[in-house]
Amino acid sequence: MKEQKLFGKGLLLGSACAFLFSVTQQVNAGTGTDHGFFWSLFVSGGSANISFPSAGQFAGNYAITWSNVGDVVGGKGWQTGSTHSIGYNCGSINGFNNFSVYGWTTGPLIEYYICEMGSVASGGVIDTISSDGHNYNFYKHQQINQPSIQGNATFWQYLDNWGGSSTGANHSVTTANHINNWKSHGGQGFGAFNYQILATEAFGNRSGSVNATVWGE
Amino acid sequence: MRKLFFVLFTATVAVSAWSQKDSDNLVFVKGGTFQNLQSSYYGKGITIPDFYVGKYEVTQKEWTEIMGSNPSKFKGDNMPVQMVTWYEAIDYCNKRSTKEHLKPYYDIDKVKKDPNNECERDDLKWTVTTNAGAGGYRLPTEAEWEYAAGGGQMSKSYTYSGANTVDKVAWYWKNSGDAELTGFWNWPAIEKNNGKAKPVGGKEPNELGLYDMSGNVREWCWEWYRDPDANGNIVRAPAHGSMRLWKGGSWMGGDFCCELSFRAGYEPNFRGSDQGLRVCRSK
Repeated sequence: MKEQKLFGKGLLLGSACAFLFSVTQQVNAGTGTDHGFFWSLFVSGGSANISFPSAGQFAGNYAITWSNVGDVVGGKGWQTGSTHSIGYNCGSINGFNNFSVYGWTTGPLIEYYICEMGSVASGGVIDTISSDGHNYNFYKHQQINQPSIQGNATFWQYLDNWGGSSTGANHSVTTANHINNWKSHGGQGFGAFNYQILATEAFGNRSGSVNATVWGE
Repeated sequence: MRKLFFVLFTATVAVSAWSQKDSDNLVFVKGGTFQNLQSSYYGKGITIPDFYVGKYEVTQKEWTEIMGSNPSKFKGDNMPVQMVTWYEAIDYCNKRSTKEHLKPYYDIDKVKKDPNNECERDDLKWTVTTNAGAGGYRLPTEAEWEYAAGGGQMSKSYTYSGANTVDKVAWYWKNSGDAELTGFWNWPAIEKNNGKAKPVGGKEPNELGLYDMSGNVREWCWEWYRDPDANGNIVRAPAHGSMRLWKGGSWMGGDFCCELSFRAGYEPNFRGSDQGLRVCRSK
């Protein structure tokens, strides 16, 4: 999982108004709230910027562009997640590795991904669930004594991988379906929600952009 | 006779001075029921006996004086010791007790594997039992830790140990590096921002004068830890387990870990640059 540079090792989101926020070779990008959503942008190597071009009309809208990045992760979401269904519309995306609902729980400590575009597949498939009209393969991966939102810890990553979403259309992620399957077949139960976001990650000197809108359903 | 009196007097003064100096870093905690409304023990009818607890997390100087070496990743005499396993924390308590002529609190059998230890990654599994009534150094129980962190009988019911604003009292991932970080927790950002443990006592103390009970390094407690059950109920002090409990959060973790009611576990033989200890003693 480490090799894949999933945003498991971090995802900053943050605040702001509807103006352009630029970062170059920084480790701490801007962050905060915009139109009721948390947002953040992290970039390591290269450059990236985030803006909220249509947030006045669609509160969860954000756009990120990046150039020759070592790793960039960014998006919008909620400080405390829930089992709510999540809607999104990705207007455009290119030069990325994965586009996922991403979050953490504590007690047990679990890092989870619901991958809508790209891939987070790793290891063996535990089972397959059908949700929102398509199938996700559920992968489990254990991180042993690795950094986490609680500090160094041993924890599981739950990775539901689809990757077949499309741009220019509304989509739903019925989060409860994923959580129920994790509770039933994950083997660790499921804990208290920490943050939960719709995020994009790119790495490996890629350049690209995303323009997407997220909302709770 | 005068000479003898002088010698005895001098020796008494010296011992008193030594004891006073030694006890400077221990704070007396008056026992009682939980007063902090934010504590997970509040209203549970639990009474904590009087005890002493470290004013600071155990520093690298204190550790090295007893153990002879310093395993910490981030070095400094006045920094909290890190990278110590639960076993080493127990060992430290006993060795410090012996050095100070106190009865060791623990019996440690390094050969016999603890049958209650279910940790598949633990290759030590020392069997550790306690000597109730011994006055030596020991790790706090979760209840003692939370009682002290919550201000004991002087509690103002803060969420964190000493404040409702985490930055006043705790070093955690956002403020432990070169620049202030914001947003959601992000390890690459923390690492590149040079997040690290800090010298003890750098933030405001709590109601009892205790420093860094929220943040800086996580603090080992005595009990086994188990995640909540399927209904979300807390399981206290299970008889067996695979992780030992820690409290307080650290420079690496989220602010929620610094809340005095937060609890989590860590393998007893694991080392982390965010894992240290605070000692206590029974009255």
